[in-house]
Amino acid sequence: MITAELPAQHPTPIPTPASNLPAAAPRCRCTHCGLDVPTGLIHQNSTIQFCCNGCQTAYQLITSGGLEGYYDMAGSDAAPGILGSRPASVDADADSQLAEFDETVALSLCRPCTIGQRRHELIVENIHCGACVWLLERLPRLAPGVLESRVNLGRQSLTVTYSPDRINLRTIAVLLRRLGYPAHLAGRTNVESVRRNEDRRFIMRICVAGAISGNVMLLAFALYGGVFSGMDAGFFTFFRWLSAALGVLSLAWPGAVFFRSAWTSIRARVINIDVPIVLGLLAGGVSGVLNVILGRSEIYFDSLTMLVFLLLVGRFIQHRQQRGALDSVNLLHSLTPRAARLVDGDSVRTVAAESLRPGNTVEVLPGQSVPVDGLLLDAPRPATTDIADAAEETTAYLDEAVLTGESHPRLVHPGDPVRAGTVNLRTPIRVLATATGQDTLAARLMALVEHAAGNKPGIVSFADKVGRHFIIWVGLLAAVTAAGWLIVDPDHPGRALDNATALLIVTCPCALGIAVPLVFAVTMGRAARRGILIKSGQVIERLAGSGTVILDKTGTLTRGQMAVVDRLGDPTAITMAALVEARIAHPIAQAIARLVPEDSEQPTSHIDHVRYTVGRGVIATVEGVSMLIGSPAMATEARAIWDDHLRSEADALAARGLTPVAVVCDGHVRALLGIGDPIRTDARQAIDAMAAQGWSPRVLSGDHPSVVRHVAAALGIPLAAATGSATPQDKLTAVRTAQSTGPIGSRRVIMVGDGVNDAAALAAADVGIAVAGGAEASLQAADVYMTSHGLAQISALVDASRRAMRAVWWTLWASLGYNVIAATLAITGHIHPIAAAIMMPASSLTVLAIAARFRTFPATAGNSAAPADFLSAIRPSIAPKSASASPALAGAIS
Amino acid sequence: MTVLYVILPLALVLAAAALWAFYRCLCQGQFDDLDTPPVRALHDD
Repeated sequence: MITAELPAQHPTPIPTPASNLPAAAPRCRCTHCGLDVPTGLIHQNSTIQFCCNGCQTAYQLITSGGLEGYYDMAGSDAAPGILGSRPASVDADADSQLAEFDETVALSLCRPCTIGQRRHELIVENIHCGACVWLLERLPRLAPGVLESRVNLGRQSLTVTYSPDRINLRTIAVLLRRLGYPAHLAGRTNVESVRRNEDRRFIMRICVAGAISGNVMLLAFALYGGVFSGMDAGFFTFFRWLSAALGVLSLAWPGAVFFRSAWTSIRARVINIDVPIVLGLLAGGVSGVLNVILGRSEIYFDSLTMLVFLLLVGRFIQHRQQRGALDSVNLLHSLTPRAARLVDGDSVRTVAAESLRPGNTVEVLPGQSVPVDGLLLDAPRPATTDIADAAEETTAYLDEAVLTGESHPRLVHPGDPVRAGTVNLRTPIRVLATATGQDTLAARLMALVEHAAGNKPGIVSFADKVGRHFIIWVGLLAAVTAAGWLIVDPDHPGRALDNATALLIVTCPCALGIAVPLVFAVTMGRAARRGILIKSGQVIERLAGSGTVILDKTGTLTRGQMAVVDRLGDPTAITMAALVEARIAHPIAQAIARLVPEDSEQPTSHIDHVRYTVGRGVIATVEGVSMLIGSPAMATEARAIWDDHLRSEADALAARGLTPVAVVCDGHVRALLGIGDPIRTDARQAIDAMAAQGWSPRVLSGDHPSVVRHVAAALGIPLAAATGSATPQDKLTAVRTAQSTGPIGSRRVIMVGDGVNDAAALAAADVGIAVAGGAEASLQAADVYMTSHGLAQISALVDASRRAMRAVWWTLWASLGYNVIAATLAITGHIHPIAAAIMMPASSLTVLAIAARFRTFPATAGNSAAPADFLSAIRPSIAPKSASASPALAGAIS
Repeated sequence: MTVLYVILPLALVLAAAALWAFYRCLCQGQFDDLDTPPVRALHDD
């Protein structure tokens, strides 16, 4: 089943370790993760190869515990894209990721267990398949002191029980991280137990409804038998009484859900799908009981109890699917860290973030997010004597993308304000808290989000909309039937009543109640396997419409990371520049350094006299050549000789919204680099595809207007639809404007964004889509969360939604066909409970078959197992998580 | 055939007993996680 469930990610078969001989395959794959091994790291004549130290550590850990079976299992299960989970790089800032596992913080989150032991629930990234479960549940073999470990796939969590004398939680977390499963401490919430009880009640209801339905069916069969071959009057009455008793029980206990929902909807004067359902149930129940008491006419309790059972199953599928997506989003992410490092005199201790007060000083390590609003204090001097670092000793780079949407890290100096939720990128910093908890900017923005979400225009779900028409038509038909029979046969008013009731029962919109949630659940399940988590089925309805799609630039249209977009001039000079910049910890320098791959075999050049000026450039001597790499202004000041071509190109680069960098060798400008945030290759195609689907694109970004204009121009978006320097309020206004103007029927708005500054707009939009690495606020506000960047996913989702809605219409027409036949029989007075008992399951089966077979996402190689898709759709979404989140993003997540 | 009058209610009592047993299992949390056990069943150890 697992093989069929996860094929989407495995277009290519992955060799098992035994067949992974470098001699046999020109592309050598890592024994642990199955990715290609860089040429420099291949060991000749070895069957075991690793692409990085992380994989090697993970492999050694796994084999040391005698758990090699993991690889066979992962290979045969074809785990997503890769064999083993790719370990997060075991890097220096891993330490900062583990702050939350500090004893004092962890102790407060301990779960009940035997005395002398401790139990914690950890939310673990990258659990996707049977092999993951197998390995993680064998944790006691790898870590002595761990007594038990149990995985919950639905919650993506691991419950570990350990003995605190022998091992501590931090060690376990380090181990999990090395194995490629970064763990986070699950918060203790009351919501959890409330939900658990809710789930249990749901299952109990289904079970009771099923048991009653089965028993009533048996009685009904005996009664139907009696119709054809005669039956003792005593048994006839007895069976009818038993059926009535069980039927009433089914309506009153498990069926009460529908009565309650219908009552709420009537009181709110918004008719939902439950109203026609309840009408049918009520008509059947009341007339059935009366008929049993009076000993006349037919009863329909078999169909009614079956209806209750099937509808409850439909509800349960819907409920679980929605919850699964919500959980995966909420449990993993939080905007501000749970633990903080409080500076107390000379010592630093870890405390819970809630306990911080204004006036406290906190330390924030690189890769961590800032827990408070405050002012930057002098950072402690780094231990290294690196020249580049020394020049930066009192400054810090903060990634404020979650708050401002700005992709460039901000340089902050002591005394500058620092916001909670921003990520510290380079050196450890100390922050004097001025606002904490609910008073921080991030918390206030969250409040704005909740407000926007609360004021979202009410959108009626598809089923409810159809249900509203349905009840009018069925009510009319029933009245006409009763009136007609009274005229035709005035001597038997009972017959008119019987036929009208029969009509209400047989036309009960069972298919709507089951098919719509099921089609949505199948779509949501398939989307989840592509890394798209949909929070509710209504999103699919809205995406199938048309309107405006508002795109945030960073991370959606562009990669969200600085890179060299354009280079001109001498390639040798550029390579030399890259080698120099590799020593500097500035985002632009790093972008240039990436031009030379780390593992490529470059002759080690002799680099001397590196001097670095913040915000301007770097001067160094390489192999005796004096080099200057910096802004054109710096080059000019250093009296470098420009040729006319390069000088005009420098201006052209700046006009394109790129940052020009001049490479000067011995006083001559030899090359020019344009640094920017490169546009994704798939963006143009996806935008065109979405435009063809009826969604006109707009770009709205917090970035500089000239940058935004150039991105829009490159993508064929009209300049009028591209806006830069947009504030959160601007974005919200833009969404509201698009919703209230334009042709009727295409006023829907999809908002794509990732920062807190987008959150209010995400909440206000008809469909808010948050992309990976975003802040908690945007995730909570959004209706869709995508674990990978890129527009292609969004356009595929829109396409899938259209197909899903088509499938919904198909199921609707199919069930309507059955209803027309049944209604005709009822109106003409030829209906019998047997006909209803046959037609109801037949209609449900047709609907289920359609729901199971429709196509959603374009099929990828080997992904044609529709029945398995269908089965897995019933489970909550298990999202494949991106294995290679950047350290900055990982910091934002933890 | 009059035995049916006794046997049928008895069958319902049995069904109720089964439901009660199911309820007990539910309360013990046996149905809280419906995703992991099917995967776990494939491991032989």
